[in-house]
Amino acid sequence: MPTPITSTSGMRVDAEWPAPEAWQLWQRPGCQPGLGPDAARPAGVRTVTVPGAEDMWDLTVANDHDFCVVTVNTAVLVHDCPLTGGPDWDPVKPPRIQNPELQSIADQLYRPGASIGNGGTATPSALDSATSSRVPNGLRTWAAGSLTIRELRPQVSTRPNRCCRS
Amino acid sequence: MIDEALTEIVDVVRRDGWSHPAAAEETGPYSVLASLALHLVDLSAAGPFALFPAVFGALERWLARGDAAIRNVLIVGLIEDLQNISLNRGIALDSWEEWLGTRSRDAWDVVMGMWAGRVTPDALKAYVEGRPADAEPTT
Repeated sequence: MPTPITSTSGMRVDAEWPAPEAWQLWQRPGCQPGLGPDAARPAGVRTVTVPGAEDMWDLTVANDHDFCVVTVNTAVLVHDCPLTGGPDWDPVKPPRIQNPELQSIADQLYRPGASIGNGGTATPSALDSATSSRVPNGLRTWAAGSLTIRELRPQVSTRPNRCCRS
Repeated sequence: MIDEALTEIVDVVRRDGWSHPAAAEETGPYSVLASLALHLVDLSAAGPFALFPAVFGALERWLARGDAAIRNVLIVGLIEDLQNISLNRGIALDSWEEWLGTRSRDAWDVVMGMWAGRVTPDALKAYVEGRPADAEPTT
């Protein structure tokens, strides 16, 4: 049974990452049979080809809420979760930065008491440093610049499948 | 163009002896501005304040002439960083008001409004991109 994937209007996920010629989903392991981390192309997931640069809208995978979208040369960590706070709000933290001084700065960028998005401006800064690349415009998303799927995997695989819509 | 804006702002502070704690190839504009914001917050506690007018003057100019990408870096980067770091250190946000120009104060208030729930994230994004809140996002 193919995993339903829907793309709806609403939350905009900016997509200015390079050459999104082929989108592929990589889901958190253990949630769906056949969708393990080593699958080159997860079974039952349709690959959507998007010619040129397009905005990607509110991509949702039924029954799973943390997954990666992989383009030819970019991986994007998607946390399918309400943007604003609530009992299920559980932001994905940005990747750790190897440079401890930069990590110390990023740690101070979280808004105290935040309940929106990732909770502050740490994400773009951390991604800047972790990926050594320019983070695309439009930041209240979980775009991961040029992070490889291997780097994103721990972010996904260690998270409980909390929230949200389906 | 981001580089041009960043250079103008960062050069002011570099002349004051500040440097980003990472090699250029290890970072990007948001990381640089986060580090710069931290330095400004450090200075805001006890001064000196000599470079503040030049920094915030450059911020004001680039908010006026910059495109959506530059405004995003400056608003979601520098301005929000200043707020978040200040809040984490117990520094009153209104202590920054004297340095803000018209546009930077407006952007400051929009970011504050977003976190207070008065401005939706979509409206913030529209503001950053310089378009009406109900208009279609730019591509």
